[in-house]
Amino acid sequence: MLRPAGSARPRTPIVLAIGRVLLVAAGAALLFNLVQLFGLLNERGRAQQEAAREDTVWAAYQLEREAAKLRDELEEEQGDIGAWIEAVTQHYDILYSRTGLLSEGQLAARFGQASELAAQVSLLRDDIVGLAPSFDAMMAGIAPSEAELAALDRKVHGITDRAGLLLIATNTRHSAVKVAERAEVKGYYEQMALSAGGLASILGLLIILPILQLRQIRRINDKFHRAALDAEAGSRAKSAFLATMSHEIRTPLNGILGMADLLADDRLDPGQRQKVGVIRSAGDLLLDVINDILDYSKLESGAVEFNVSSFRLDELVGVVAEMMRPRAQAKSLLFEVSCPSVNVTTDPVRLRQILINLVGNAIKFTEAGKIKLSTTIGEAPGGVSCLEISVTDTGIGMSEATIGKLFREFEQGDPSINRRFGGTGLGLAICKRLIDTMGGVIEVTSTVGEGSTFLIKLPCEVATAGPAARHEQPQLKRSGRVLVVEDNPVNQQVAEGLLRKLGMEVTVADNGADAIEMVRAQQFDLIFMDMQMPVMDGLSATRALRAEGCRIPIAGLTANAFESDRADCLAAGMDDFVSKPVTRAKLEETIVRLLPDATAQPALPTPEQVVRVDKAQQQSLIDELGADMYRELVQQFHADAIDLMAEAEAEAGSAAEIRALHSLKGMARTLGFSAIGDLAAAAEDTAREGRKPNLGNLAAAIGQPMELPSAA
Amino acid sequence: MRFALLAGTALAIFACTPAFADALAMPAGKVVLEVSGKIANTNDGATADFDMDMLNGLAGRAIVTNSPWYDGPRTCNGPLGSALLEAVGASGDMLKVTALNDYVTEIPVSDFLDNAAILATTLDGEPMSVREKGPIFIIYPFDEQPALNNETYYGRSAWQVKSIEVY
Repeated sequence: MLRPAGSARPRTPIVLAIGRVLLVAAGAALLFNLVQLFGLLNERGRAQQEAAREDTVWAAYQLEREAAKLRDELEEEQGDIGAWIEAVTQHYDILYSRTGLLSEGQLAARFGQASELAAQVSLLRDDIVGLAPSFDAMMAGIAPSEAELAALDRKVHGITDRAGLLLIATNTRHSAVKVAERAEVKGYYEQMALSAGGLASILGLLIILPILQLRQIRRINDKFHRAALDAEAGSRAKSAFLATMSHEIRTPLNGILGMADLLADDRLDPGQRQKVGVIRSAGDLLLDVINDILDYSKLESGAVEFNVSSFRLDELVGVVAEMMRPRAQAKSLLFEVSCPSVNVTTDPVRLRQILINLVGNAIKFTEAGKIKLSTTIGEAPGGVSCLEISVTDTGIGMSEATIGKLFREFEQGDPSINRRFGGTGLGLAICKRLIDTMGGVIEVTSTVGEGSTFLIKLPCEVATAGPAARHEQPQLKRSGRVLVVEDNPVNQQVAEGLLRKLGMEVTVADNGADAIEMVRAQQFDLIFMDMQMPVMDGLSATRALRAEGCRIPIAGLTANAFESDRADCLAAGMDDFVSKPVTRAKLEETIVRLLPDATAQPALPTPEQVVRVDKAQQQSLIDELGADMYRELVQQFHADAIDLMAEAEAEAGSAAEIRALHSLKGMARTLGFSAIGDLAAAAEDTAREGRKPNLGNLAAAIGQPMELPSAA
Repeated sequence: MRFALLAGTALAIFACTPAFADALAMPAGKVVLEVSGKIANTNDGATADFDMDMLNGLAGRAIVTNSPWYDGPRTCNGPLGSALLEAVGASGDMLKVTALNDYVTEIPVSDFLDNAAILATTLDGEPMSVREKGPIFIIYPFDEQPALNNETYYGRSAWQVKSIEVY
């Protein structure tokens, strides 16, 4: 998906870079050319040269004029011979002075190769200089003879004609040079125009180039964006698929695990019990796999919610240890746990998930020796407290290469591992992602054949805590009327069976509409409500019940184990949520949470806690009604007693108070609760005398657990 | 240049002081330059006549320069134009310079005052005959002031100068 963009990307900038370098180089060359041309045009000598050439033409003209003047002077009437000679010789001197302005070298320099011109100048100068002796003689006072004067006149005529020709030739040549030079200058200007044009184009390209580049970047960006959208859509589709798959697998698994639970409680021979155990553990394994996949897809889509809270670390570690210990024991592994008594602030659910995964792996990959779960408080960089948890095993270990791909999705350390140990290969990837998201790190050290150590460093707040509260997990007996709303017959049976085992009285409804009818007709203490049902689904039914003012606790049952489902349940008015497959443990947990009254009866209550009971009365009732019925009556009494107490308190000083206390007294004595009966009677008497009875003692007695005869 | 001008002025004043009453000394040799027009000091009616010695007695300078008329740099020496104007007490703005062949060129007075042009009387130390564009050649310091290298100043550089009219 990203390949075309990826392959196009490296080529483009090189082309652009080369293009830019070439443009800049060409621009520099053009600029240099331009400067050179400008220099050529602006050369100082050029003006002088031009002026000199014009001067030469001027000089040729002057020469011709001076020659003509001399000619005219020579032919002038000789009035005063002295003045004439002075005038004539001065004109000759002026003419002579002009010859120096037309040297062959200068002509060559000014007009280029102009040999014809030079030859003419040479002849002319020779002619003019050749006349010097004649004029020198005149200056010396030797008057020329008639013949000499005629010869001089002829020569000056010749010079004049030659000077005229030279003027024409020089002027022609000057024009030619001027034309040539104008052409040259024009050429320079054309070159300059071309260079300037080239520079302008390059400038334009240099401006356009980044724009093109920008457009290309934008295109690539768009492509990436589309790819990202595609990927996101793909990811969403995958998540939806996983959710569906998880639902489809959980529903049948619910039946398998539930029935296995029920079967395990039946009277079975050891062989059968072992087979049920295998079914149960295989189902658990399958459930783990599904949970892994679901967790992973949730992590990938960023749907995992972290709920940070402060909790006792040693309690959490203890829970994990107790959970995992049976597995370690099953493989005859030593399982050492150490943990300081501290309160830490992080997400307990995720931490437990990580620990279970790591310890589970350690047990899985260790055949003999021990597993060690050790927790210490260290310090992370920056002075923050850091929870350091290490899980060490003496298992098969891993090579460097294996460690390298350990945290990758869908990969197990070694392909053969999968065959030997099974699993999705997602566990560590999930752990790593969780730890990363929580801002921690996970490190591994391992030696093949000797074992591995996984070390987690998790920055979190740490506070020392007092000794752990003792947690007793008394075996509870329960009672209560439960409505199970579930369309699947197998699941109906499972839920019904498990709840009955837990001591509940169970009624089953096939869908939400039936459930509403039943709730209207009968009394229930708790409702388990499936989500997806025909006729009316669980959420609608719950909303309808809540709208009617029904306050019975409702727990949702669903195979969709996503966080959003839980949110939907709570939004519809449910109090809790049980993810399928339903197990005895889950149901029990929910009942404990939602029906504290129903669980308020430890099997072995201490004497002080038990309210005095009239055993004979109790026994006669049990004989007549049966133990179950009696138990139900007690539950009923308990609920009614609380109501009556509330009424008595609310109607203090009235006939209603006396009536309520009277009813309470009667009910308590009927059921054999003599202590409560006596207290109620005393309160009734006090009230009848118009005084305020002490209801505190009575309420305390009612709140006490009530001894029930064993169910034998 | 300014120093030369000042020195020239001082010299001219010194030179003229004894003859201040009759304005200007009389030329002893052949007159080579006649100055006329708006001038205060004369020695021949309305004209100030100069022989070569009088000219060379004025504050002068040497200009070594390339020019369109000679190949390579030549040394020209002679009185500063400003010194001549000072000597004749010129008060005009323009000079009409006439050559032996009656070539006429016009030069602003400011050229002589600002550009230190000279009336060259020797070339490479030798006096210039008429055949060598003498006896007087107006030369600008072309090499010192490249801005002078154009037709305007080439045209003002008259040779075989015989008279100057101040107006």
